[in-house]
Amino acid sequence: MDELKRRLRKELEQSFDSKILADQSWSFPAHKVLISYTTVTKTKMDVLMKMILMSVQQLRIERPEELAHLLGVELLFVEDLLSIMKGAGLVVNKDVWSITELGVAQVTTGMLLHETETEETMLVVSPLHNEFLDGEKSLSLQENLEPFRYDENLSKWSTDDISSELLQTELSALVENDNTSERQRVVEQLLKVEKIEQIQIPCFEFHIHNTNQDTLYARIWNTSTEQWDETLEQLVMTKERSSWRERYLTKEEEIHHET
Amino acid sequence: MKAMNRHTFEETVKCELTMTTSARNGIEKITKDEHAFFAMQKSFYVHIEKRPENQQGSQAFSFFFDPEENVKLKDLLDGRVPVLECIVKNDGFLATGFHVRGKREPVATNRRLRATMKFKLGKSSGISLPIDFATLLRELPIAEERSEYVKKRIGGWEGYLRIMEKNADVEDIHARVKSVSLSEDFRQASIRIEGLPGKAWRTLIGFSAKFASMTYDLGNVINADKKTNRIDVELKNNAIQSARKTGLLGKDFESIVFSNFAELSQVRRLRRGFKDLQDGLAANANLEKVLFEERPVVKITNRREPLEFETSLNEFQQEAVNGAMNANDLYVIQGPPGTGKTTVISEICNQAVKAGLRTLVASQANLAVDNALGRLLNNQDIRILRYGRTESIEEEGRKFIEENVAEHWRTQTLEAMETQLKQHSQLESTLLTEEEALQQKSTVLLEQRSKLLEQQKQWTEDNEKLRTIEQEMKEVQLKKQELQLAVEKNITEKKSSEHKLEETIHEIKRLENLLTGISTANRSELESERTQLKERIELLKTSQSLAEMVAQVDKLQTSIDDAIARSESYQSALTKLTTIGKLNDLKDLLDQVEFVPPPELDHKMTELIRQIDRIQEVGGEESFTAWSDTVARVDKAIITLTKILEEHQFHNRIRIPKGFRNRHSLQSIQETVSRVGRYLVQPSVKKTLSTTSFSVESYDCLENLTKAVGLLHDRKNFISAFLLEAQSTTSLFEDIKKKITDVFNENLSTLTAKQKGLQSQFDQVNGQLSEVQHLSEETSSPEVIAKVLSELEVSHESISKTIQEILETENTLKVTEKNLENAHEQRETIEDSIQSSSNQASEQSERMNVLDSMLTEKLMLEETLTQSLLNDPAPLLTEIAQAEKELEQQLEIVTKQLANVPAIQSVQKTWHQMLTDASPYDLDEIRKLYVKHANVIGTTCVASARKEFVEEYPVFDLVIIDEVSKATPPELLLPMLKGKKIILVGDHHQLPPLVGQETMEEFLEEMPDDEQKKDMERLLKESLFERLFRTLPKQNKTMLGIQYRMHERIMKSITPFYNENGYELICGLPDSDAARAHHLETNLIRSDDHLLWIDQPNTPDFYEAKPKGGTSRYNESELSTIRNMIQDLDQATEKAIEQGKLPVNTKKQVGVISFYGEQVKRINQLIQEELRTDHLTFRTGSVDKFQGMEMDIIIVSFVRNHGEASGEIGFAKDYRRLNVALSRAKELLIIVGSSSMFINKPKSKTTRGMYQKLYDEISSQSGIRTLNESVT
Repeated sequence: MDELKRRLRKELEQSFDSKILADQSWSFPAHKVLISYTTVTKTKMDVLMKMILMSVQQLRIERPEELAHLLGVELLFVEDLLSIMKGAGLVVNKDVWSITELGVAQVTTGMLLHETETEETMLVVSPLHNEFLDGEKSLSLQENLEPFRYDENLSKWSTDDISSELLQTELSALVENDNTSERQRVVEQLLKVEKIEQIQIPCFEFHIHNTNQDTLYARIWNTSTEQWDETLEQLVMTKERSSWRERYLTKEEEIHHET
Repeated sequence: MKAMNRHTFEETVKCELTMTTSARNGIEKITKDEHAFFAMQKSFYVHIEKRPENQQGSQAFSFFFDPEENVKLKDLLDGRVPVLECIVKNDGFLATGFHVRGKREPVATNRRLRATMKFKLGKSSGISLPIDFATLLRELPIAEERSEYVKKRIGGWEGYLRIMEKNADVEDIHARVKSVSLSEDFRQASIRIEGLPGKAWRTLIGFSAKFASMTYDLGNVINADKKTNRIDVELKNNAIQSARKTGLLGKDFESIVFSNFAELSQVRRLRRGFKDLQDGLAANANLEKVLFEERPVVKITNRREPLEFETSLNEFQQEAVNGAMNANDLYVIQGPPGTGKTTVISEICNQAVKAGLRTLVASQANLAVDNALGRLLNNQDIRILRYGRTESIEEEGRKFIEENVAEHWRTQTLEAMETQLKQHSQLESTLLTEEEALQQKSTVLLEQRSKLLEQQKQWTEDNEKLRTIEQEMKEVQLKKQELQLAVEKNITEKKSSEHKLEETIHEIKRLENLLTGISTANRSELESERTQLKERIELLKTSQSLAEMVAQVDKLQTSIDDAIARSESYQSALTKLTTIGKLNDLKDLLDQVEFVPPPELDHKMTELIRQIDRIQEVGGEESFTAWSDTVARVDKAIITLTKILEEHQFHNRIRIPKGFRNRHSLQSIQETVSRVGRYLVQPSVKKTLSTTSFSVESYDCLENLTKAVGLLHDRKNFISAFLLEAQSTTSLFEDIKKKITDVFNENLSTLTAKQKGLQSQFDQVNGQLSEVQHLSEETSSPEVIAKVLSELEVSHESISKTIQEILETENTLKVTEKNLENAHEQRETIEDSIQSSSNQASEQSERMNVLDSMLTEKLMLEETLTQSLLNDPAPLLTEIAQAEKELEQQLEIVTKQLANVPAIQSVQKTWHQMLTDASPYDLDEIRKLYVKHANVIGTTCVASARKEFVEEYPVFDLVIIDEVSKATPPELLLPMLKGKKIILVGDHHQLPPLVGQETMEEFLEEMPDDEQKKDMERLLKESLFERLFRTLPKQNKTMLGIQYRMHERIMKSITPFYNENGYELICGLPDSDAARAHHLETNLIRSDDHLLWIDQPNTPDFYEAKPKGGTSRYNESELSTIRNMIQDLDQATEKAIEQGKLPVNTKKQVGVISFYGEQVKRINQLIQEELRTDHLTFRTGSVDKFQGMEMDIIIVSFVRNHGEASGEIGFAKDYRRLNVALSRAKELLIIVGSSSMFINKPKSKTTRGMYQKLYDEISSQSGIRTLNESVT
């Protein structure tokens, strides 16, 4: 840890117009959560085309406008796809649009390749960031660092606070990561989110004076994401920055005066 | 690319083609011969270009074979372009050349005609080209000329590119990194470098920087300082990501590369735009004229279809949208700040989508593109695509970039599905109601129809009736017309009769008067008096002629004397005449009697003179006897000689000439005779002649003698002739004399006769004279006599006249009496005819009344019928039929839906689920569909020329360019090239294009004075946008005149900039005070203040300053004013919230802007570090960066304040920059600056005036505050 901190300090100091005014170390809470969900694997058939086939199969459709209205899709799209499918022999149009045997085969086989599978994944979520962190990093050198000074309300956190949209995006990214162009594995349903444990993520905070610009700002290294954390920096600066000039620079001037 | 063509001729054109050897040779390079070539395809797709006429004056054309559409050619030539050069010949073409051009050769241009051609090789078959086709060919412009025109004009724009590529250097520049310093927010990296060539430092700004071992660009260099070996780079997003992780430190970041590739490729693209315009590749062929002609000629449209607007627009905005949709070629919208340019653009996009058009929205900057797209309606029919580099696209545009459109579409569709699903519970009942309603409607329609059918029956009947009535009416009308004519005639006749009657009565009266006036006076008395007078006049006249007679007698006496004298002279001349022998004497004699010979005689005399001259020529002096003697001598000599010759048997040789050869004098003839004599007496001759023996000598001698005889004969002949002449002369003379004698005798007898006549006359006159002398007792002088005579004559005449008159009067009397009788008769006749006319008239009027009443009746009937016919049920019936059909369809849908409600619900649920679960593949397919059907596409000007983009979207129906004044003409050209119609939106009173931090003008000031600089200055004086706005016809431009952003009083500060050409800027807020109330009150601000100037003294304590080593400026005093101002504003907001004037969580947006970067930096620092405000949010920046933005409150820091004589105010002198600064605030605008500096110090009068005006306006609003002043 100390070594990391030294390295960061050194990096910051190499900058020709930056001067470190203060530093501190602390940790903020994050939560390991276990997420259960089901996935299905489908073949490649574009969703709108499939939907049109299904609609034609189930309903009596005479004009493309009906489909457009039914599916809330632009008429142009419907017409485009109908003509493609007609060309491919999936549908025919005699007064009524109807599906061919070939079409039926496509729809049925095109739906599912594998039955639903249930899967689980462990993720780390940070309430401060309202984001999932790449939690793979082992933090073996956990020391007893003081908690982050602005984490007051975080103890009440529950898994319900994770927005479903965030969860969905994260899972999709995870599941669809190794999709091929032939097979599409997608999340079918989210089963449950289980809180496993709370962990502390260490951070190193530096206050810096840019002597060239004469500006004061904070740099906070997040050891979990292994980068300078913008969210945390903004949080600290919003709360504190207006006092720094007086705290650091006036003092310094006084020191100058004294010497 | 088909759309590029000027015209396409749709039908296939058959044409004859003959070949020259040169063309054949060209073709044989790729196929066996021309037959093989043209047999390859049935017909060919060609693009025909007109070329200048050849030397023989034949019209020349080039046929470019389309390399894509001609499939066989494509196979053969692999996409290269065959070109056939032709001239027009007879009814077809003569190919004069053939060659193949490269793959990149553009074939479709707006100067070429696209056509499908069937070439018939060989001899003329007499089929001519279709007329339409020939006309299109004739109307083609000569491509080379157009190209030259564009090249010449666009050359003027080179300066822009030069400025852009000023420091262009194709080579990348490498340097080593010494250290890196990242800004607080990681958006900027300051890098110390070494190993950079000294020269390179100056060119570095604008280059993109990249670490040698990294794949991504770091960002663009925004600062380069050679002194500190430092450059500043503005980081791009992925560079920021990387910087947060690595700090840009380590061995991957040791070497840096600078490249201006991006800028160069941009310049290349711009230059390519020049070339495309030159090559005729603009989608609108008229573009070049629009751009370059001083008065652009655009097609005129009068037809204005009313549009239905999707958004609510003010009159100006409506006009702009209407104008833009209806104009041809080009439409220009001048939009001052806050006037709703984006609203207008958005509505134009809507309208274009409705019309099925594809639109490009372009702007110089990404932000403007995104703003415009972000404002478009959330409507599925509008498929927006944002094209460009993802990282440079702003939030508003993000959802429209290609990788996001599918997601955007999914969101839209899901929303639509959710709405439908939500309604599903009510769907059935809704549908039932709908069905019922539809059925009801249907019944109503049916009823309506049966009613209408009845009506129609009635209508048809009525129509029939109407026809009959109309026919009848026509007949009556005709009759009436006839009658009318008769009546009129009758009236005229009557009138003329009455007139005549009047005249006759008048005449009778006159004649009666006349008769009473005439009296026959005493005629015989008068006549005897006249006789007496006449006698007396005769007498007087006689005595008057007495003197004349005496003179006449005298004159006669003289004449008689003269005649006697002349007779005598003639007689004496006659006696003399007989004796006269010479012509001259004769002439003298004639002169004596003054006789002029008559022409015949004169002629003879002239002949005589000529003859005498001829005689005298040879010897007229000699007497006749001398000539006779000589003849004798000659004769004698001839006889002698002849005799000798006879003796010698030589006389046969004698040739006696007829006539003579020459005239000779007497003397010479005598000499000739003597010579002959002398010859004969010569001893040798004598001797020779003595013998008759023949010898040479004798022969010679005899020959001579023979000649002599001839000679003598000649002379003799002459003399005879001469003598004859002389004799004739004599007789001529005698003849003349005789003639003269005759004439004289004749004259004499005439004279005698005359004399006798004169004598008798004399005797008569003399007798009269004596008689008169006897008669005339009057001895008065002739004058008196003459006078009396004339008096008498006058009275004689008057009496004669009176008598004449009396005679005439008597005649007249007779005539008049006769006339009177006639007149009386006539009167009776006329009176009769009048009576009959009157009778007729009353009869006619009766008939007329009958006709009129008939007509009125029919008219009424017609009116009724027409009225009822007005409502032709036929169209209504059609409408109803249509409505029924529609209704039926709707009903069908509804019925079907109703039957399907469960199925529909299930389908829609499935769809929703499937869409929610859509895989990336699904979305990608949707993306493709979306991109294919995208109809509003947004991008920057320069990006619109990217290769991929041009291939995907070569042409747009509509190109809308926003913020036009911020782009240079070359930048504007790129999107313009793609538009069939172009709409320019901008404000030329706001800032022009920038080069770095400076405007072009400011940049130019630093350039060396040369020709190019002058060129550019000319171009910059009036921007393209400004010029177009000035010169286009009214229907191709408009200004948005109502602004909604600013409080009316803030707006007043910029209205002077827009008062021109009859335009003005007005405030569209119905109640500025209510809509733009800020509810703030401080020491300096009252709640009804909206425009303030916090005035700084122009004294050293308040002067500006420059940072060490910097060129920019800041002003500490203004900073401190701003600091106080912000604190006051924050407190005032808090107070207003407490008082309930503002909602609880109100945060006022405050923009703090300045003309100077250094000041902006210090303001930033002030806000971020020193001030904590709870109720204000801030945005800071230079004025230039703020263009296009709006805030509740704006504080402008003027900065400039000094005591230097130059009075320089730098950036602040550009009125456009001031305009931008003043027009950002909605509620409150606060100026911080020194009025005496800005009003009094600048050198330019215009600048001083501009600030004075601003000051006066603020002053009139009581908005001037001096420091330490308080309003409370």
